[in-house]
Parts: sequence; C-alpha cells; structure tokens
Amino acid sequence: MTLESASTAPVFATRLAHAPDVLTELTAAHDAAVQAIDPRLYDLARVRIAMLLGTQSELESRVLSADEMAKLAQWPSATEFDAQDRAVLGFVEQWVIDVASIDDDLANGVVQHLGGDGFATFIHALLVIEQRQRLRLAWQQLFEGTT
Amino acid sequence: MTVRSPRLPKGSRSHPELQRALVDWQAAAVRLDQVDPLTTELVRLRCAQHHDCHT
Repeated sequence: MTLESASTAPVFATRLAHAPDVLTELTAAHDAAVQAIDPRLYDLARVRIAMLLGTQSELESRVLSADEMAKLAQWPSATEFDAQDRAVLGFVEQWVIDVASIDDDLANGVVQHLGGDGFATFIHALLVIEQRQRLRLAWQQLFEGTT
Repeated sequence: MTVRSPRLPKGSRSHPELQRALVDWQAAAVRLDQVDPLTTELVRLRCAQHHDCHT
C-alpha cells in the first residue's frame, strides 16, 4: 500500500538500482510508515511537505477531500481542519523549515493528541516522508535538470 | 547552546516495525562505500549541524 504518487517508487528503483540493499530497506521503511500511522495524518504531512518543498508529484491525495486539499496551505484559519490537524501541521511546517528549532509547545501539542507512542511513531514516519521527497527532488535536479 | 526539555513522555516508544525498518535502512546506507571518507564525514557533520545533533 502506498499513499504517495505512483511515479515515486519507479524513480527510487531507477536511482537506487546500484544499491539494492538500500532500496529494499528504504522501501520497507516507507511501507512500515504507511502502516504505522493514520492515513489522514500521513497525507496531511505528505502533501503539506510537498507544498513547502515544491514536490509537484506529491500534490495529490486519495485520502484528503478536495476542500481540504484546496485549504491546506491556509490550515491555521481554515475550518476544514480540527485541533489535531493543526497541531500536526504546525509541527510538520517547523520540521521542514528549521527542524532544530522545534520548541516544546509544538512538540507537546502533538503529544496531547497522539500520545507519547503516537508522537514517537509520527516522528519516524515524518522522517521517511520528508526524506523520500527530498531525495526525489535532489535526483530531479541532478539528473533531469528540473525541480 | 540550546537547552531543551524531553519531548517524549517517559517510556514512549515508536511503532516497532517502523523503528526496526529505519535501523535496517540506516545500516544499509552506512554500508555503502562508493563515497570517499572525507565527503562522507563532511555530509555527516553538516547533517548534525542542521539537526542540532550532538551525538
């Protein structure tokens, strides 16, 4: 099962063909991340990260509604998102912009909704989601001359 | 130096399969030997700086 673009896995297979062990383990980490957290949570993070990084291929969702997709960039004031969504999206944005500056309030806000285990799992899933997009963007820049 | 309080409640654990998958992936990446040691170390230190990682 995957929530990301159907074009992403083939890109990874091509670019990591010289390192099959890494491809296998990275794919396993992606699959585990998808299984470990709620699909809505996963896609809120995946699509918002895509918006911030400019990952055009990941700007679609089978989980989020059309209204949610249209309002995602305006999540602080959009009525489509509840308190948990806002806590998660605030954390995701700070993670992408300046991960070393995440403060206690942002972290505790997510813990209040997901609990300690849920927060720890979400952090690991976020690592996978962001990393896959940054890898794909880097490969595009290096090998295709596009972002 | 940044001073932080623990963010994870004591005893919190990530999903075991995801945690294991991440460890296995990182191990596979570390085993790669096609990048020279100096470049590898530069990347490692730059990542540590970006993440404010002191380990």
